[in-house]
Amino acid sequence: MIKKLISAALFMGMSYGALAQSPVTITGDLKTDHVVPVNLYKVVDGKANAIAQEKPTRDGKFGFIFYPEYEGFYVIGTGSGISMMDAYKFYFKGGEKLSLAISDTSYTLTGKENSKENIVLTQWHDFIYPIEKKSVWFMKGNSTYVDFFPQFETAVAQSKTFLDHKTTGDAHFDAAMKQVIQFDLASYATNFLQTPRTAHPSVEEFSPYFVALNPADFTTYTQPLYSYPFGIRLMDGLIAVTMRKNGTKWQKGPTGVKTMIDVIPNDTLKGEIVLESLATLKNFSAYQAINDTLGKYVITDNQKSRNVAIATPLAELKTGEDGYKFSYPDSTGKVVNMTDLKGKVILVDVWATWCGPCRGEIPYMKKLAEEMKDKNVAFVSISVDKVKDHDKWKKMVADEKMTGLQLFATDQNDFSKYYKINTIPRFLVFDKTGKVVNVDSPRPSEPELKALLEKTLAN
Amino acid sequence: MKTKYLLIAFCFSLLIGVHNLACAQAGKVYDLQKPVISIPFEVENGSIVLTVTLNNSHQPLHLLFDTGADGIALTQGMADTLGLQVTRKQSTSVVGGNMDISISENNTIHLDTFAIGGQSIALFKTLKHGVDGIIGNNIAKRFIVKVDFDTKQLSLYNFGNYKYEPGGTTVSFTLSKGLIILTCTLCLTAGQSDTGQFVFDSGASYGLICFRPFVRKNRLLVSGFIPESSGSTTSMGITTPTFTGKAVSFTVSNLTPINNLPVTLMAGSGQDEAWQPGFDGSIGIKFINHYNFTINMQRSEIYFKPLSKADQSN
Repeated sequence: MIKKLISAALFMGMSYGALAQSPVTITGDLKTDHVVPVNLYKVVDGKANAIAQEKPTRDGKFGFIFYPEYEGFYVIGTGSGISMMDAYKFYFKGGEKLSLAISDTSYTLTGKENSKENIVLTQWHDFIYPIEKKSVWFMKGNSTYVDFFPQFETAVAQSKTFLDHKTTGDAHFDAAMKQVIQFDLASYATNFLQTPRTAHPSVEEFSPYFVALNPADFTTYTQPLYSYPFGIRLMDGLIAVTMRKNGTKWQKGPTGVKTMIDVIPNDTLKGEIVLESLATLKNFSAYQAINDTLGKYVITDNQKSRNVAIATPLAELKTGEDGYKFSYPDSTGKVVNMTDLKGKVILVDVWATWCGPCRGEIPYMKKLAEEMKDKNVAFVSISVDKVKDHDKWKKMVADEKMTGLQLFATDQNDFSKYYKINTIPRFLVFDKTGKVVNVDSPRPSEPELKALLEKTLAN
Repeated sequence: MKTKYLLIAFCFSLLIGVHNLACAQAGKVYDLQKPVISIPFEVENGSIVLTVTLNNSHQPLHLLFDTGADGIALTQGMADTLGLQVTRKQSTSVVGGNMDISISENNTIHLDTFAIGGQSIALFKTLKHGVDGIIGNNIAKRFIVKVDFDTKQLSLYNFGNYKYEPGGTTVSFTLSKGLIILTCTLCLTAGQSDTGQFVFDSGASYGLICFRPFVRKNRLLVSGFIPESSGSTTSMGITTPTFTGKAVSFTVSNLTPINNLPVTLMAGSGQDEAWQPGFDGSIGIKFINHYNFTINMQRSEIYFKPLSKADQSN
């Protein structure tokens, strides 16, 4: 344990020693049902980025020693850092000692050497915990807006005086703490509305806090949002709630992204929304459609660097690039190569027997194949079922009278990895020479696919 | 609960005929205070269940007396048993989609020795548990209907100069889509008062429910109301969450307000909130059975008289 702490200190010291003269020492007890790793996060551009992970001892002891890169908020917890679940904020500038015990849904400070700042943060967490529990731990309990709204309004009112007589003497922290209270409240509010519930309010039923909630209060400047561990998540929530209040529908593509960024006043933060949208795309043409019109909001060097990281793998899959040469057996065991299909436009359907939406496309796929039976199009369905489900796949192919080439690639296949296919169904179109036309094409149930195939045939 | 409003459409033409009949009868000489027929009813879970027979069958049918429906409905199984013929089908728009209803026309319903002919019956795969069917406002369109919980008797009187027994209150109603609509005022919490149009629905097992648009418009769930329980109601595949608690008071038109009345409020499901029931809520049997009541369609009024017995039917 001690050895581990020392090694962590040396590692972090190499990275951040230039900014903090004294390390932060964190010791803790994990008092959860199961022993799981504890993470230490720093805040980067409004997100919690893991900088260290510690697997507690069998009796739950864990610890970190690190040199803080900046004075400000860090996060410790067993959660992923993406949401506020199992993720607790602490304030470090260097030299502090923090001692805590983490339970299944909260934490307490232990020992007598905790800083004034972290004592105030914990007092705030204790105060707001009933709200956090309902907002973040939505799967535990059955809170709806009927009980949450009045309780939340009371908490908002009481939060106005929460910091009275809690001045720490650290002016930087005292100012940041005021800000964190506002950001936490907004995060709990938006998270509550965005998580599954048995009942959901209409806009007319919003309580005063939600009515008054204004994205500009949080996103006019970059620094407050960037320095908050859940800043980007909060911004997403503010956009969603604002669009709901305005009756704005979600849309795909550049129009949809434009609708979202219009909610945010700050151009750099608009860029964060653009980058988030780009990161979800699976083909280069969709990337270009958004980047060409809204890429102007990708302003900072950091953002530009992230944009390149998003674009590079997509560019490899762009129209005109050679398609991945797949090679998989059919139901008789005969191996079919993509090169066997040269001279035909190829539509690939990546699917599995367990996938409901995939099965939903089968009738449309059969209909499309029938309509284009005289055209030079190869319809190829690639199953990504597990090896153990091979017979189940064969049976379904027979039962459903599935047409076209039926290939079995297994769930561990190179084709899916190459095209980053994490969700199915996924349809891909290649031209007669095997080059990429679209690696995330419309589905057979969408008329645009037939149009795309006909256009590809004509080229 | 919403399903029974299906019955509205197919009986609408009947309503027009009924008024003509009522006018013709008004000129004749009847012993107006003597019922045409008086039959006993049973109270099951607070609801009114009549025993009738149909056409030439002697098989007793247990029908829920349901003023939230506009006609008669039977389960398909019972219709098959009785040999009812489907004479037409009708596509009806309902919450969540369209439904084809089979209809058997020109049947005769027997209340003891009294026969009412020319009845259309809608057939449903399933209806309320424990009854063979429901009988709605079609008899109220032809007769004054008096329901007496004290004696557990339902009596029919001819339209005319009917005189109500003393001790009650007359409440005017409007007819909408074949349903009886009462103007009511809900004081959900202290200082909050909302008036709306409520269906008089003896077939509903609850006391009082407020439909989603009324709840939403008046912010009933977010103005200090503290629910005692939550649940849901499902109709045509759409599940609506509900919250139940006590209203400070509820007043049906000019009746004496009832305090601390249990009320169920429909909450948002997070899905499309386009459902427009056309009414603000519904008064069910757990409210209605505090009174003996007489429905007089000719005068568009209901006469309410509080039960004389201390132990009321619910």
